[in-house]
Parts: sequence; structure tokens; C-alpha cells
Amino acid sequence: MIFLPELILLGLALLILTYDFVKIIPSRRLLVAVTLGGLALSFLSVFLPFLTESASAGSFLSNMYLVDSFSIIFKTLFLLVGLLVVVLNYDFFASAVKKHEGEFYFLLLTSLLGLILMVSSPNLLMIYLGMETVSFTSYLLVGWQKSVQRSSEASLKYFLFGALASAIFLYGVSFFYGLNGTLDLSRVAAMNIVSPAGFLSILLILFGFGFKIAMAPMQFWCPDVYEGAPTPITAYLSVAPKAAGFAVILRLLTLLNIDLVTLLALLSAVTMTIGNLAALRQRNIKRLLAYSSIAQAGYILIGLVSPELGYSAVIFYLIVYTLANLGAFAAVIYLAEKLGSEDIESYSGFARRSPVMAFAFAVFFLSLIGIPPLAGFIGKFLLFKAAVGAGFLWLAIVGVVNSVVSVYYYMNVMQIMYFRNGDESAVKIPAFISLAIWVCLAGVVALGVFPNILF
Amino acid sequence: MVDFVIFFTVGVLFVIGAFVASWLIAPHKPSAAKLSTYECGEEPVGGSWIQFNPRYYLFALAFVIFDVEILFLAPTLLVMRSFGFVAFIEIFIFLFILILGLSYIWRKGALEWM
Repeated sequence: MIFLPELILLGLALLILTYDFVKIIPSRRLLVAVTLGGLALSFLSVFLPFLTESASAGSFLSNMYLVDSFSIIFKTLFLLVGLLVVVLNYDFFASAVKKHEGEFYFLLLTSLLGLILMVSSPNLLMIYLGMETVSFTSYLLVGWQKSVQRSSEASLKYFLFGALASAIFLYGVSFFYGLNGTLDLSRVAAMNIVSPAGFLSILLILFGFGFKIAMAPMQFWCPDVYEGAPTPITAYLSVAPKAAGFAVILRLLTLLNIDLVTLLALLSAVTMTIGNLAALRQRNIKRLLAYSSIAQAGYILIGLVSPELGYSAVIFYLIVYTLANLGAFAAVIYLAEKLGSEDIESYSGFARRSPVMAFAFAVFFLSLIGIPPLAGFIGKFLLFKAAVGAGFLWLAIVGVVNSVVSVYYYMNVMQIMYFRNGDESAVKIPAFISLAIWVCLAGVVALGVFPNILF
Repeated sequence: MVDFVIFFTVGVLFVIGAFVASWLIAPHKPSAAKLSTYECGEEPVGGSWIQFNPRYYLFALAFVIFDVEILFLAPTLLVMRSFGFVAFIEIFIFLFILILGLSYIWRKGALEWM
């Protein structure tokens, strides 16, 4: 019963693969219905231990796998992201009947399984396996539109950068094993990170995950991959592997009990500044959101400087960021479908064509900026408070200044939507997209007004 | 820290030392034959930037899958007596997933040489 969510996910992935194998041109409706049903079942089974009150928390398979409240939070988040991405995907590929569409869901489900494995293990080897499962499926998903040249290019770039990041991570792990004689983070008594080898080991491991969370200096892949990938996959990549990367860094910091605050504070400041400054000049909405997601990773890194207040703030902000970013990408998918363009200029006057969509877009962007009463404000407040509490006043100031800089590029999109003239014919929003947008909207507003429901 | 510095210095000096020593000691008799390129004693044919069929990779991947299969089957056989029927069931689940993968690529035509 303990592994029920994972087993359902695996079974579902194999089922989809078998279906795709039996029928060359699968029925879209059936595929999406089965995937959504299975994901929902897996999502519900995460909460099963709470109902039966059995002692299900603990470590399994010789401490390779943990079921604790930490991993349960992230499992819930990933499965929610999975549900929303499948929902978004339905309308994204609606215009053309695709061969091999089953593969898409199979890869997405396998990727979700990899994410869950990644956050549920205290063992670096298992974490690496989970990370590779996520990486390889992501490379394929990015290049899934085989006939689109930009998509293939993005896939290849992602693969090359990803392989480099894996190699860096493994090099760090080899030092770690040499120093500690084990790969199990919870069995390391005290790690000496002042020694050059110890520091190098942790630095390399951190940079390996920095690739997943788009932390400077490992953020180069982000804009090109985000632009080239199919938009639902961009949405997925911008939230799920990022959350998993942060989860693993949190586990590393708590289990090893090491002091890296100065390094993390510097990385955080550099990451958000690079992200925000580069976002200022973007003309393509997906590139803009790519740089914005780099900047957001910088804000989240702030929380890592304070173990007492910051770690819970990191988890809170990750959830808030996930909802707001997925919502924004849902709007981008819809607009690209309607206008045939991902150019920000093409959004001129869209608020008059679809007030609801423009409003939702505005709410997601305002939450990413951190305007009360939306959830982004509470999230940023908690992060900055943690930084000040840990004695990093300068970091909080850098964070606030960066948030002010970010107002320009987020507001610019809204200004174009609301105050420019364009086509004025009213448009209809497809049911699935609007479902995803309403779910994200409800989440962003509810968590902003009642943040206590998460604590 | 001291160990590290010693190792690092000795490591760097060793490499430089080897080059310097061979440069000093080795006889210098350059000839045209020594400058000619060779790969395992063969003259290379054509350029090294030629394009080759990516299908090779598909076959290589399919091969690696079954290489790994053997890697898992052998230790399972060894512990079969002590683990009993559970190990038997588990290895069959593993084999089932692999065979599903093989039949998938077969069905999708990846094993045909075009």
C-alpha cells in the first residue's frame, strides 16, 4: 500500500505504452481520459495513509526510499502538475491528429515517476537515477514535435547541457563517496566542507542540480529550450523539475547539516539579477517567461539561507510559483493558438477580445511580481523575512530591488493587452484551458488570502 | 589542506617533468614517415566529418537494454535459492517491461533498416 502512488503511475505508463503499441493512431479522447483518470487515482492514493492511520512513514528498501511528509508534499505537487499539463496538452495538440501521441503521455508519466523517485530518496545514487529518468524523458518531450526544426534544436541543446550537468553532478558524487565512504546522505556523520575536496564535492553536486532549477551559472539552456519546446512541456519544465531540484537541495542541506549560506546567498543574488535584467529586452513571451523563471529560482534560493524560517518558505513559494506559472503558460498556449504568434506585440488589445483571459493573465503576472493580496506576495514576504532573520539584510534588499525591476516587463505585457488597439472580435476559450486557468486562479487567490491552509 | 597542496604540486610537476625528460633524453631524428597520419596502421579513407546513419544508435540502444538485462539476471539467479519465489516474480516483471519495450520498437519499425 505504501508504494501505491508510484505503482499506479508505473502501471498507467505501461498501459499507455501498450495501447499506443496496439493502435498506431490512438484515440485522443481515450488517451487523455485514461491518463487523467490514472493520475487522479495516483493523486488520491497519496493521501490513503492519512485515512487508514497506519504507520506508513519510514524508510524502505535498505534506506533507498523514504516516505515522509516532505516527500508526500512534493508527490502531491508533481501529480497536480501532471494533471494540469495533460489538461493543457489536450487543447494544444487539438488542431492536428498526431501519430504516436501515446508516446507523449508515456514519456510524461515516466518523467513524473522519475521526479517522485528523486524527491523520495536520501541516497545520492537513487537521486541520480531519478534525475536521469526525468532528464531523458524531458529531452524527448522537448523534441517531440519532430517536424518542427526549432523543437529538435531545443532538444539537442537541452541534451548536451543536461549531459554536462549530469557529468558534473557525478563527479561531485564520486568525491562525496571518496570522503564519506557512503552515498547515503542520512548516514554521513559529519561532512567536512572546509577541506578543498569536501567543498568541491558539494559545489559540483549543487551545480548539477543548479541545471535543473536554472540557477546561475547553469541557466544558459533555459530560454532556447523553453522557446523551442511544445508549450505544455515548457510549462511542465518550468515548474516540476525545478521543484524537484529544490527538494533535493533541501534534503541535502538538512540531512548533511552543512553551512553553505554565504555561497547560496551569492548564487541567489546573481541568479535573480541575471534573470530579471535579461527578461527586460525579450519580445517573445516564452523567452520572457524563461528568464522570469530564472529570476523566480533566484528568489526561491533566498529561502535556503535560513534553516529555521526559510525552508518552509521555499516549499510555500514553490507551490505558489507552480500555480502562477502554469496558469500563465495556459494563457500563452491559448493565445498562441488564437493569434498564431508568441510575440508580445501581437497581444495588442486582447483584453477587449477576451476580458476573462486577460484578467487571468494579469492575476498570474501580479502574483509572480508579488502584489498583495495574491499568493506571490505572501511567498516573497516569507522569503525576505527569512533572509532578514538570518542576518542577510542585503540579500532581502537585492530581492526587493529585483522585484521592482521585474514589474517593468510583466506590466509591459499587461499594458499591451489592455491599452493598445487591435482586433476586437470576441473569442471563445476552450473548456480544458479554461478549467486549468480557473484551478490555478483559485489556487493563487486562495493561498494569498488564506496562506494558513498550507501550514 | 597541506595534503592537497602537496598532491597537487607533485601531480603537476610529474606531468611537466615527464615531458621535459623525454624532450631532453629522446633522440631527435625527424623524417617524413613520422609525420604521416595513421589510425591503427591504416591510411584513413575520406574525411572524418562524414555523416553516418543515426540508425546505428537505435541498434546500439536496443543492444544496451539487453546487456543490462543480463547484468540483472545473473545476480538474481545467484540469490534465487535464498530469496525464493519473490525474486522469481520480480525478475519476470522486469523482463515483461523489457519485452514490452522491445516489441514496441519492433512494432514502430525501428528495427528495420531503411
